[in-house]
Amino acid sequence: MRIGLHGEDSDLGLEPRDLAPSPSAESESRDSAGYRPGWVEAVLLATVLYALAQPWLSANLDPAAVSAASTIFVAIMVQAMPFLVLGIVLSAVITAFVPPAFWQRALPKRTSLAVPVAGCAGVILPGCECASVPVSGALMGKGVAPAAALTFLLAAPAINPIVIVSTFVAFPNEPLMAAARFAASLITAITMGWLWLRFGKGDWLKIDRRAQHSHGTKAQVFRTTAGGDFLHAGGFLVLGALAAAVLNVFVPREWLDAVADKPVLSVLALALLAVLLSVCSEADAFVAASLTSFSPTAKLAFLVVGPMVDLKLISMQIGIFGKSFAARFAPATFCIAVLTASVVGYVLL
Amino acid sequence: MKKPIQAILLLLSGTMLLRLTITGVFNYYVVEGMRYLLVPSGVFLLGLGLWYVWDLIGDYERRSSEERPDDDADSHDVHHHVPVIAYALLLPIAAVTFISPTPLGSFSAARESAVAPAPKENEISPVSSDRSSGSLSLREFVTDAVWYEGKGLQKGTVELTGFVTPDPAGGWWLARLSMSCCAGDARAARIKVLDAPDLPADTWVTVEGRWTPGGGTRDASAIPLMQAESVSQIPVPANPYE
Repeated sequence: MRIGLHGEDSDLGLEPRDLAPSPSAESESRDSAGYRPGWVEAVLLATVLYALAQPWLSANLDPAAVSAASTIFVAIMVQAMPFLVLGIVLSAVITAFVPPAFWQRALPKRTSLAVPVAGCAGVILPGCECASVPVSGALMGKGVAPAAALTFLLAAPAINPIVIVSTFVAFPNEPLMAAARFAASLITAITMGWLWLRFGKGDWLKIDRRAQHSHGTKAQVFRTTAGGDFLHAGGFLVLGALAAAVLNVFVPREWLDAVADKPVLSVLALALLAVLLSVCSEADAFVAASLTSFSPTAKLAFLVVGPMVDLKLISMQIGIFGKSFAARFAPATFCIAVLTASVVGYVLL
Repeated sequence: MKKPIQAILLLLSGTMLLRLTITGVFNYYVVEGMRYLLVPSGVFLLGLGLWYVWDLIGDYERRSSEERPDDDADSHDVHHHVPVIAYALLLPIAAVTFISPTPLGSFSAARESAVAPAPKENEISPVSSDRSSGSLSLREFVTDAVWYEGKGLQKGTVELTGFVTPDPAGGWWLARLSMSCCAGDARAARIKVLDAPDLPADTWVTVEGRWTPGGGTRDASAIPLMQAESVSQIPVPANPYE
């Protein structure tokens, strides 16, 4: 337990949920010799910030902007919740009912081969990114190699049939856009899996091995997994949705229009916009299609980055897999996704 | 986090989804079709919460039947550590409870500059040329006026519904937002209404009038003009987006 955190109920979920953590896991958080700020400091800081910002806020904050941000925040939550529920149900089924042996038979023994297989398996999860976080967490808990589970995490929300069809519908004049999205997303996901296999360290990632230690009935395991995952991932989803809604309303749109005709900047701008807007992967094609002043490659970058790295996903990854994981995985995925989208866009579009 | 609190959060989240769907307020946030996903998710969360409550009652009975109170009530059960971040789930519930739900309006409609995106190649105008007067969607009106030289708008008057969005240059635009999934991806359509009485922002109106050339064509940031014949205030439509 870290200094400054009081009691087991007061940490932010950044500790390993693992009931029997390996001795090397989360070694940095065990380094209890140094000073670590906790809740008291956070409350004091918030009070000071509030005192400083309050006069400026009440003078400059447009009530219409606050109302719009509130509507967008609730909209992202309402949109995401059914997919989160789908994800936690699948994750609970995997945890409670699917024996670990199943995954050993279903996936190739060699992890380097399991990665592309897991990527292609992403085709079967008909949901958006909120569903795939709990599912890949449950897969790791059942002993699936993290590299394969992470490839699944990235691929599933981008290449499933619903998303590809909606991309096809949104770009009727550019049928290659759906194909380019499929190819670029799958390549990015598999590349990230292999990179994790080669460079990833086990103690960056916290894995929830609940299932292997549980001693309740299967129904009890299902209940506590579903409920726990919903509350855990849902809480982080709220933070991500809040950030996305605030940025959606307060970042001026002129910034986008200014870079639309610059080849490199426009790709980066739309990739960043995808991170900030956190639009569900089933809807993002329509948003991309509406950004008419941008090049097809920039739109492709928006479509490839969005389902893999966005504010609500980063927030959920911090919650489920830990801070030290998300701090490395999200930026790396962003770079690989932008690179792949640029190359695929150059070749296909 | 204690089990009763987990149960409360699950029950509240499920109730919120079901209430939004049953009262129709969900139309302010997501598209109509989401109804079929929201109801089962709400029912599932509510059921899960009730299952927690059922289990809690079981715990309580077990404890009261034992001689000494059991300190570790969860000991028989699968332990699942739920972090305090789960309290954040109260935020959307508070937002729809304490801030009166409003659909996006003039603030969002005024922010966009390119509000008349080009139609797909080889697509015919959304407004058929043999149309007699009647109501159109604002998006159809804008597309026809900007990209088809108003071909479908020559005959008779049309009726358009939207909300008042003040034009910084004076007067107001009639605007309507459309979304493909949720309010996070809403896009605006705007026209300038000429000779209309002054109205406060976000007033919902039905405008009857005629298309007038001069708003610009073949340009995504063009704003078509409409000569108003009558403007009548209406209540917020059940589905504020089109």
